[in-house]
Amino acid sequence: MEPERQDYEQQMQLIAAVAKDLRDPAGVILLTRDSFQKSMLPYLPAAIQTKTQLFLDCIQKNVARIERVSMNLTDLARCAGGELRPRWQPVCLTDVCSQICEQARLLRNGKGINCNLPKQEVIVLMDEYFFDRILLNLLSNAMNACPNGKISVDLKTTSQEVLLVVTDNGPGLSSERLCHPFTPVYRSETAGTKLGLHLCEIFATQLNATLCAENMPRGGARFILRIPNHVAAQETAFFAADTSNATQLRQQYISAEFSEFEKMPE
Amino acid sequence: MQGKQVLIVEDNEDLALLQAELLKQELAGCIVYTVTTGTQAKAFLQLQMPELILLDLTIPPPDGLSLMRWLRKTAKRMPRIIVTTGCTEQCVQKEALRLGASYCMLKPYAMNDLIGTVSMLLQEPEDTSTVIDTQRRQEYIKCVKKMLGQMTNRIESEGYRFILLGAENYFDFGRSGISIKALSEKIGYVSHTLGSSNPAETAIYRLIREIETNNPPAYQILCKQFGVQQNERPTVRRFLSMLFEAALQKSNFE
Repeated sequence: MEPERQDYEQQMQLIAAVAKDLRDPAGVILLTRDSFQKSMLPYLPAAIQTKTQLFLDCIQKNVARIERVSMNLTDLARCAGGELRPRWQPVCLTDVCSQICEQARLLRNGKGINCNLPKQEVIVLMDEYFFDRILLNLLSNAMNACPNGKISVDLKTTSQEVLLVVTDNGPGLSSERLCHPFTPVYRSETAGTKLGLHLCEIFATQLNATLCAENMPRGGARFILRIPNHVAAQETAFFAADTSNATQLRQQYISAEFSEFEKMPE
Repeated sequence: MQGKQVLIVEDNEDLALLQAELLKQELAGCIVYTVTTGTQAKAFLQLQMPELILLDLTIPPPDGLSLMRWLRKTAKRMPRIIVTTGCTEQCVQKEALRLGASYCMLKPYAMNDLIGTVSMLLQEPEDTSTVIDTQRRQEYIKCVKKMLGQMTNRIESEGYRFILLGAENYFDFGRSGISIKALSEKIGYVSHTLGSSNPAETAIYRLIREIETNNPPAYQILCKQFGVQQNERPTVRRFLSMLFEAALQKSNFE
């Protein structure tokens, strides 16, 4: 193996190990916070309670943020090392979209996120984890771009493909960003690293899907994921399915992904 | 929870201590032990077997998965196991479930999730059935397949595939070594707490409704096969549970 490649792989392994190690202290912080909230907060004077609750919420939000960063770093390292490959199984995309949008809507008091799904369920052969991560990252990117604007998630089917379209009415992508929408930003003084969008593109490629970004004529950005229709795939693939734990894990990914966003006031 | 024993195997001492305190505080009467390495865990388990083990997978050797393999070989009675891990790789989690873990919790997890899961597993009735090993599981599936195979000429082939998929998926829950009764309770819990986003469940539900609408004679045959009254609308869970019951009656496992 070439020395450069070996160095690169070692760096990726280190990233994966660090990402994993972050989870232990995050767990200690979260459990301590929960324990404090349950057993000590009620005994504090009312005036201090409100303020303390704000601090506790802040801790919770940031633990979820650590979890999200850890998740993205792990995914990145595993993709780079060729370890993360799609595990094909029948996935009901309507269900997944509906569940993730519902969680996002809760943060916005039911406002600002339209989820347009076909009446018929869309079940395709897919890697559920990859699809989850793509939709979560696209949605949190849109929520970042327009905190109070309108976001829509559309799932459409044609005879050839399934389309997932996430649109927002924020400021749209800058001309520079539009040229390379999925390239991570290594130096940024304003936004994050855009690692989430970079991973979206990697996942889309692994799913034999394509992901593109464009600005809307009336403002805002639109991300389109085109998934080839695998409904008529080989029967054997159906028997490789394993959905145990998937929903439980999704709940955790969702809460980590949306940790950045404050719940909108009533 | 009076007298129920829980062993925490966790190399992060802060996390071990915190979890132990929380369990003692929230589950009154529960006796909690902590160890920090695989060797200590092995020594403990040779002396006594707790009702539940909260097992971190990445501990000093032997690691969590090795410990579970050793338990499967040597233990007369498998305790309930919740594995905790910072590893997001599904193959590791799958392997833990295959080796008999009831749940896999990804760190960091909230206190309510920890207490809720431990409490639920400790309250489950003692499982007296033996571990469903791979061979036995294969026989169950073979039996279900055979039964469904007899009906294939009456069910659309697409639907047949989905039912089998459902059967396979539901049997995956059985890998933790629980009985069919406990299995259906577990499915009930999962469906209740996590919603019905199981694609197999959705597919089967859709299939049942499609058969009912498009092919009433086939639907009647299914209902007759599973003892459903004509005016009753069986849920997917009920349908599958009946499927398993029927499979068990056909076989002589129990």
